[in-house]
Amino acid sequence: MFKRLFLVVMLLTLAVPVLAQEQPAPTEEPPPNCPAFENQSDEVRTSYYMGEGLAYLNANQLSAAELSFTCIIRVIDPNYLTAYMSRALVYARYRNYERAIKDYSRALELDENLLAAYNNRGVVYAALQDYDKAAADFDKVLQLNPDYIPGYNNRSIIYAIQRDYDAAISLLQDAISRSGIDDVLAQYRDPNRSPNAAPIEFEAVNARAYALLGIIYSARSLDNFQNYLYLSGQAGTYPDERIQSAAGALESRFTFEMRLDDGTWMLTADFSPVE
Amino acid sequence: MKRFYWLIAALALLAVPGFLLAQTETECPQPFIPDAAPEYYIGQATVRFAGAEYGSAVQLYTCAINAQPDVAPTYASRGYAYAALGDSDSALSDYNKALELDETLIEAYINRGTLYTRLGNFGLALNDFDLAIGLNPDNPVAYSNRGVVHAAEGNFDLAIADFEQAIELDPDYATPYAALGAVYSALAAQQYQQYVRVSGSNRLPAGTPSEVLTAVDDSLRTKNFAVWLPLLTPAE
Repeated sequence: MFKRLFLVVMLLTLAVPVLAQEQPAPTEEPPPNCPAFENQSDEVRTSYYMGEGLAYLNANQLSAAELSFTCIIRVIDPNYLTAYMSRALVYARYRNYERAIKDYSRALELDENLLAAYNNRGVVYAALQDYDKAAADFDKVLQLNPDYIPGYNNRSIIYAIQRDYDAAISLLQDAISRSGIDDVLAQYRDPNRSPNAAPIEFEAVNARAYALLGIIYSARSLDNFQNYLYLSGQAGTYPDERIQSAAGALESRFTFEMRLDDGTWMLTADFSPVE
Repeated sequence: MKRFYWLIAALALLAVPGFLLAQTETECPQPFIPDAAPEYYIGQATVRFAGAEYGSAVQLYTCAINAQPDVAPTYASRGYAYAALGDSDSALSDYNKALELDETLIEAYINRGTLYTRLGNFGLALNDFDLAIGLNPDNPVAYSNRGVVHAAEGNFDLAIADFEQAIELDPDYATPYAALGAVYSALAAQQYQQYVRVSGSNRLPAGTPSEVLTAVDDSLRTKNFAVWLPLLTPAE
């Protein structure tokens, strides 16, 4: 009895300081040293650090670019949206996805209808395999602009990753008709089209819907082949070697060039600051 | 066929002025942000300069100057980029313009003095470093650079005084230590020449200057004082 009481007292003694101890607040890094044009207006300093940061970004000097944009965010103007969008791009490039999401989210606090921030945050969520959040962001993109074709591209990829092939196919077909790429294809394929006819202008990115459709139909083929192979195993019969071979080839394709979850099929949105 | 070559040559000549014109015109990239201040270009130029893209830096500084032609530091920065490109005339012209706009711009005096030093115009260089020191007596770079001019002129005492002053002002500024070392090497060379003249012998008692330097360096670490012993003189 005494032993048990002693144990309880001991446990309480151990627990009390832990309970009493407040969780330490996450310490924010100190603001960087930003000496350029120190005594001049915010507009001048913001212009300088944007110019500097973008030049570093173009030269792929990511830490230097991060520092320039952080100067604006932490020292000059914490509400300057373009700096958050630019720094998020830097973080995404060096795969610091949590920070990229934070910056895109802050940009969305400053402009809740910023399509590029939703789209690019969705791409980052997808890279983190947080597909529900990615889907929500791409849904918002399509809600903001139902004609924004990269949004269809990205949303359909998430559907496909989550194995909702019907939804992915339907969305891609919608993208094809909205972008008019089917008309372009029909005109090129027209047997009466003159070989000397002027090229038809179209956005190359719109044609990707066909590539994605092909991948998704291949995924569906693979599912069917695997169903057949599975049932053959259950029935104790040898499966058809042709299907075994086709399934093997497709599986290999989905491990390498046709995999949809490596981010390479995602499309990021260009961001243009507005006046 | 020959006539055809002539035609090509003539066309090429016709094309040259246009080509040169395109080279001298400054194309300023559209800033990414709306209502960008000219400092946007300065930010870009700074990065290009740091990446040793001096021509591109000059072009971007020119964009800033076109947008705001009366800012002295931008001329000084472009002058420095011209100097890095080896275009001394344009560099001097920009430094002069910077100082015309702001006669207290220390950086322009220091960089113009540096350029004069490289060009061998020691008098003008000293004048610029004196002016920079007059404007800010606590600027270690101005002292160190003036020390270099003194050293180049063979005025080693003045050079040592300037390097020591630079070190006193900023003990973490590395260049004056190397400069002092170089001056003491020059003084060492003078003493060796004096030995040869007085003794009439080319054989130095403790070895060649570079052997002595190595041996002294070793003795500082090993406490082996043997290097100094050949320099002892017995009583007659």
